[in-house]
Amino acid sequence: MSLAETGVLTPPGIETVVDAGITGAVFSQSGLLAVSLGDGGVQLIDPAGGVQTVPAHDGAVLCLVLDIDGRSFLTGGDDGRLVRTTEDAGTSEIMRTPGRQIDVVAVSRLGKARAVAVGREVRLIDGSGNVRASSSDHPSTVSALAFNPKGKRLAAAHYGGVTLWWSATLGQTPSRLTWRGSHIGVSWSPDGTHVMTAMQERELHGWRVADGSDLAMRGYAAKARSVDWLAKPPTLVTSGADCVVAWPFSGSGPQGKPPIEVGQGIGQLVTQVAIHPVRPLVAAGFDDGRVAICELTADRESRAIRVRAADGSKVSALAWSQDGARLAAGTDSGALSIFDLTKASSQ
Amino acid sequence: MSATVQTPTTRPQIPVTVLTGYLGAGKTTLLNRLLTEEHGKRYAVIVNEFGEIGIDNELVVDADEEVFEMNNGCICCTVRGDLIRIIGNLLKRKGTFDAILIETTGLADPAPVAQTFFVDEEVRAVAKLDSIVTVVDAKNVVARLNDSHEAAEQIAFADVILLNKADLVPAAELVALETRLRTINPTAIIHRTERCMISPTEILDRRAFDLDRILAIEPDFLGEDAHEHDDAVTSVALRETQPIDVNRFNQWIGTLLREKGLSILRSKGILDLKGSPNRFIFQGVHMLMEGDDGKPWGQDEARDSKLVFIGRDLDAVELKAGFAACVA
Repeated sequence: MSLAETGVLTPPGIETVVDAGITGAVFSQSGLLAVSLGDGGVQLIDPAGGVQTVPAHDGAVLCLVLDIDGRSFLTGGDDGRLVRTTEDAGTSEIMRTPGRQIDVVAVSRLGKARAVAVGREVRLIDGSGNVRASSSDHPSTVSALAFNPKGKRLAAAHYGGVTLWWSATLGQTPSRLTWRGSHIGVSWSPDGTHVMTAMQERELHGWRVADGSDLAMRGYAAKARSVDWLAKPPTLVTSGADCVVAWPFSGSGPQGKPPIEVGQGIGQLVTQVAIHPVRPLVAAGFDDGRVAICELTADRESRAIRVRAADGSKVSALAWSQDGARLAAGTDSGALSIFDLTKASSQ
Repeated sequence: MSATVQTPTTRPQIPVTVLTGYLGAGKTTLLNRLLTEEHGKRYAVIVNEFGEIGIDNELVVDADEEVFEMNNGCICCTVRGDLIRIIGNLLKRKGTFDAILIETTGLADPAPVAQTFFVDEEVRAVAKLDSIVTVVDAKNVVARLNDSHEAAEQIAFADVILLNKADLVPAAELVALETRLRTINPTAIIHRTERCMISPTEILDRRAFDLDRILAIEPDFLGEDAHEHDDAVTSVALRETQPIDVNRFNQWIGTLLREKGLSILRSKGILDLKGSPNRFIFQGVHMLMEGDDGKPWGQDEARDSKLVFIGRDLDAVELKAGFAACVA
């Protein structure tokens, strides 16, 4: 079934265009949306549409995450700085490394820890901004970081696999998950049993943490840079193909099972995916600017609705508000759409 | 008010210039010269972490020259993962620079840099390798060619060679040096310089010029004296006056590069394909290759096909026979 047959929804919301490409989007607990930009700015947009622009970086903002408190935002930039922006638009510099691009930051709210990569080095930074521990014991630049769901372990992706650290003893005894090639993204399954990476070679690789046994998923058209996890049943949802490809991890794991494919029919590459915080839905952003919301169902044909039309720019950021009522989508040419799905009506 | 509408999908590819050369040859001098001359262009500069002196530019990024082997179907090649990441990040600063300059370390093999621009789809979509510029020290390049393989590789990969410190070497020696450099790489343009004094227009935006050079090469260029130095890296130039069959050529070059691509550093060509009104322009780095239509042949123009291979252990007789068998 194609999207075109299923329907088009035009939810009310906000449409704006900013002067720079959108590099990230995330909602705070209180519903404030932060959008990071290629010109160094961070826009804070409240539910009523009020906008404050914060000049956080000199250069592009390369990554944006919600901070430990769930209310403020952390950004890394190609000015080599790590910056915290509060809900009232105040900023403070947490780290400065000139000549470096800060594009990898992870936060664990449970573990009350932030991790940032500077080349081969990983630094753990506590809530007051102090470097608690650091290690350069990685074979190449760290390309991605992820805390496990409890916030006690940290996975660092690089050439040749992933290094696993215990947050409490970072720098002491790493364990290595190895696989040849360049690993460019990393995530943990919601139950913490698996670590999965995206690879330069347009495939996914993974390990069962308990015994280090390997998993591999091939056949992607592009790098699966954007992935997300549905918690129940545990499912890895990925970009990098011309539909959303989802791998079920329940029972014996994904090996030997066909993936769930949703959002087919557009014929464009999926560049961003974001799982709805409450319901088994995935928002998919495409290479041509389209955004669709698709049901993640394995047992029957999934339904999908298109909420954003093609405009020729690539969807580069996608985020749900924490209550799942709003969806923000940004493109690399600076178009930003914020949909209010509680007020949506079908055409 | 202008009526033109900017469409993001037709964003032009950013030209990338790579500077190679041994430590002390004058790479950083050239880099600073390119950055300070008035040419109205803004550069993003990617330097290696061992950079000697300061770079006078607003946008400088440190790179770690991290090479890894990528398995791309049946072809293995080395690429610079750090470049993929850095260029992807730089392009998020839309419109703040016009071109990228990459400085490599003295001992760097240029192949992974060049291959990065062939292999990575995301990089290819936004950036294009414009040229590789190799700076050599006229005083000690002979010693470097004799004691290392990197020196010959950097010359083999060059589109432009600066024979720097030319003022410190007698004219007769310079002529002999140029002959030796041309034996390794007959397609590169060689400039004699002092302290890298050269107009930026000779270095930047060369792509259109580069492949036309192939037409100027005479296949019999490699005379008897070319072998006197016994360099490990040499070149073979081939020419056919009859139109080439595209299928035969693809099969031959595909097999050749797959089997001998480790020792063939570079391949370039301009072909007269049977049935095509346009030149077919072809270039390869080790096992990777790409081809595209070039400008059309003129009405009364004499058409021919030329190929140049640069590499180690090249079998000129076998290459000539293989190319001859591609005639339609």
